[in-house]
Amino acid sequence: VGRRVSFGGVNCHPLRRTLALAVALAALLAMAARAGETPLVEFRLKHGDDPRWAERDWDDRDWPVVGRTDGRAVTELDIIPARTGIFWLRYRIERSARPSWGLNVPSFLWPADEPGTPVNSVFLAGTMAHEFYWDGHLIGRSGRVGASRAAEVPGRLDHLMVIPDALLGPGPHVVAMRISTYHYNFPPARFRISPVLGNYGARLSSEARQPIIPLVGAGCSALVAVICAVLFGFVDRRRALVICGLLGLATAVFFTLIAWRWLYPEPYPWLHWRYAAMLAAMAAIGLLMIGLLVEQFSIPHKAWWLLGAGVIVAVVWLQPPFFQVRILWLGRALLGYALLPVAWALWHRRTGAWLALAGVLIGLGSVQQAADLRAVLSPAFFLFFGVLVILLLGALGWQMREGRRHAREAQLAAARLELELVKKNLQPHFLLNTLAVLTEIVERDPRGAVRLIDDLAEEFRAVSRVSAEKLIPLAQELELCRAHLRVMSARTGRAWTLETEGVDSAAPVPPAVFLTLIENGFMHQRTTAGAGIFRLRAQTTSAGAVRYEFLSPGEVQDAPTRPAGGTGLRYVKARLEESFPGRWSLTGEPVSGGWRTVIEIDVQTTGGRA
Amino acid sequence: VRVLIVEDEPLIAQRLERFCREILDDKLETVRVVTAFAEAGARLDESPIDLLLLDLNLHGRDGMELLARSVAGSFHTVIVSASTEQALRAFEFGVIDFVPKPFSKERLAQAIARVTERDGRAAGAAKYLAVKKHGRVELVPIDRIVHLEGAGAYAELVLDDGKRELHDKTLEKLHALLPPGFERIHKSHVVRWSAVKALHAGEGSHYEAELRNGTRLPVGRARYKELRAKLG
Repeated sequence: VGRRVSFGGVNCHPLRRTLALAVALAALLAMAARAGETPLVEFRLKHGDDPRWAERDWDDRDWPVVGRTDGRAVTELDIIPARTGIFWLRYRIERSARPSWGLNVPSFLWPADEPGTPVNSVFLAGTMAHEFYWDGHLIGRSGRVGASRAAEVPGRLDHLMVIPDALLGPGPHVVAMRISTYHYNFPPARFRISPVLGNYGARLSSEARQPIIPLVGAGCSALVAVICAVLFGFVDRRRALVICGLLGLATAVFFTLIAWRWLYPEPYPWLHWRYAAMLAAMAAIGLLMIGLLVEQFSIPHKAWWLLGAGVIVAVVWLQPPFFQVRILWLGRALLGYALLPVAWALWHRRTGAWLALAGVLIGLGSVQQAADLRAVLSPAFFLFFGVLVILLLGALGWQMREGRRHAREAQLAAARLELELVKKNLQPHFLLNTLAVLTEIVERDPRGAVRLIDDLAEEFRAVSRVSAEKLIPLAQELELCRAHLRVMSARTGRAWTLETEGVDSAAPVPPAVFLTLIENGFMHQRTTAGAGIFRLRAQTTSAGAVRYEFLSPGEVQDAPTRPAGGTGLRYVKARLEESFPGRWSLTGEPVSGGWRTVIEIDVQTTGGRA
Repeated sequence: VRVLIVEDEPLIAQRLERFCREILDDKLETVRVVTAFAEAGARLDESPIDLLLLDLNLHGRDGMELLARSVAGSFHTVIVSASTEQALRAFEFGVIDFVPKPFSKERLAQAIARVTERDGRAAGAAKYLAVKKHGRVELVPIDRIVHLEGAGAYAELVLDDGKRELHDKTLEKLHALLPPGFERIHKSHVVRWSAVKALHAGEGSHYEAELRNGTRLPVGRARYKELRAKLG
């Protein structure tokens, strides 16, 4: 019931109208039930300015009634006109038969008050300049009441006023307030006030506790931002860390804005801007959160996801200016929306998706709980929202660990492949066979022996040029192949050549891929009569991929064992996967005159996938 | 001596052939060259050989199977290969020598001597003898062989469970492959020395060895004294 009464804004948000109606109905029923038990408190308002209106016994019966309460609910809500000159507000309160007295609306009661503590203070949060009279005595003031915007000096937002002992008693007591509201900067023309009676000491200590939880939230969020900055700076330069850091920062700002009310006694016109800033911070949080989820789970169509979030922000922003509700709904809508990318990540089994789901669900649970209107959101929100941010960071950390593991494995694989390539040509089998041939040639044809040594040296130089590379121009690969073929020509005593067709000599290929296919040809095919010609034909497919057709001549000896792939083919596949992950294919088949290997590489999208 | 060379690199094949001619000289009956073992198979049936110089890539199952088929033949096998890391395995299968590439004439002569000389022995220790059985090749662990019996161009392996396996090699060739510990006790008998329980001298210069499993085998007159001394 108490939530119906606000300090800052006035008009009921449309989303809450139904609820308000129900509450009003309940209040009427309650009134009926308690009729006669509690005197009706009536708020009377008169425009103008007369110091005598502060007096306890001033006859205000002809003043218009602008609000009523039965001690449980203010039933006519629009009390304080905005920006209309000086006016006075008068009402009477007295101790009732029930434990509390005065404006006995539950939210007005200070829960920390222990039974029996004396009621000796009035707490008033008001977006106005005012003087507060208790039985004709001025006990508090806020700024300076003025007849024009220039004359009015806006006072602080929150006031805790002591009621002198001499003025305490069963009552009835008369409250008179001299008010001007020129600096009231919320759009509506009327708003409400809610004076709260209570124990001064209890109220003070309670007020002191208010900022603790938001500040803890702000600290945690700032820490998350710092952690992200450190990780980004020293560990892993991934964009998700920047977004996560900004999310932590935005959350810290949001929490600080909430805590601000208790940290600095702000003039009442600031309230509007603080609320606006909080709404902006919440919008930033929501957008960053969506951005983080979309980024960290590599969800396609990022711009569309963000556009969706932007629409939500815009729609909520354009709602009537009941800021607390807007902030709350923005939080709900964006967190609800965040379930979509999280669901996508779960569906695609992304690392850390479960952590993110837990975070978003906890966040959703927390924004259902908005209670205290001065704190805007309930303490649960602060704790849970912190958990959300930390869980998102956790999911990110998990991904980073996985990412580093993959990177390490890739590094190891690359090192292994390089070693394999070098071994390929330094392997004893190749070298010793070549030397065996050399011993024969040396004796028979010393000049030929020198040529073979030169060819062998050339092949080794070609290998050492490419051994550290992941990709080399096709021209270099062909050079390597031809050097090898010259050695093989000398060894076998017949000419081996490589003919190409349609190749782009600058096209990137992993080193020793075609060389390996040549070696496989020598190993698995029997030389037949006719020209020893290896053929490489390149063409671009309709899909934009490069298709290499490699024919190694000779009679296929052991075709059945070929598809499984020996160490040579494993090397080729590992190299292709290293440089073109998921974007290549390799097939082989016997054809007339030899063995044909077809490699297709989708070169176009190189680097397209993160 | 009839030699077959299996070598796919023509220059090396020529080198092997040239060395064979030089080493064996007038002892060489024939020397032929093929580029793959599969080709050799057909020729072996037509014209038997005494020595196979085999360049075999022993990596993988296929290589080992080819090797087993080769050593199951009646001839001796010398591997001439660059895959020296496979030498031990080749010896276990029962090749008489393994000549690593590149090779000199002296090294090849050494290998050929193991085949041609009277008491030539394998350069390494065999662990198996490959036998052809129902068209397939099976490996018999040498540990299980108790004694061997010559039968003309063949030999019979007698195993510890009494089973007999026929081998295409002569007793003499098999003995050359067997590890130390096998003793030629008779023209037609080789026995695992540790299986011999006693030697008996019968009437009329009839000598016998009694094995631990009760088998009695004839012992050559010329060998008896030496064996007697060895038994102690």
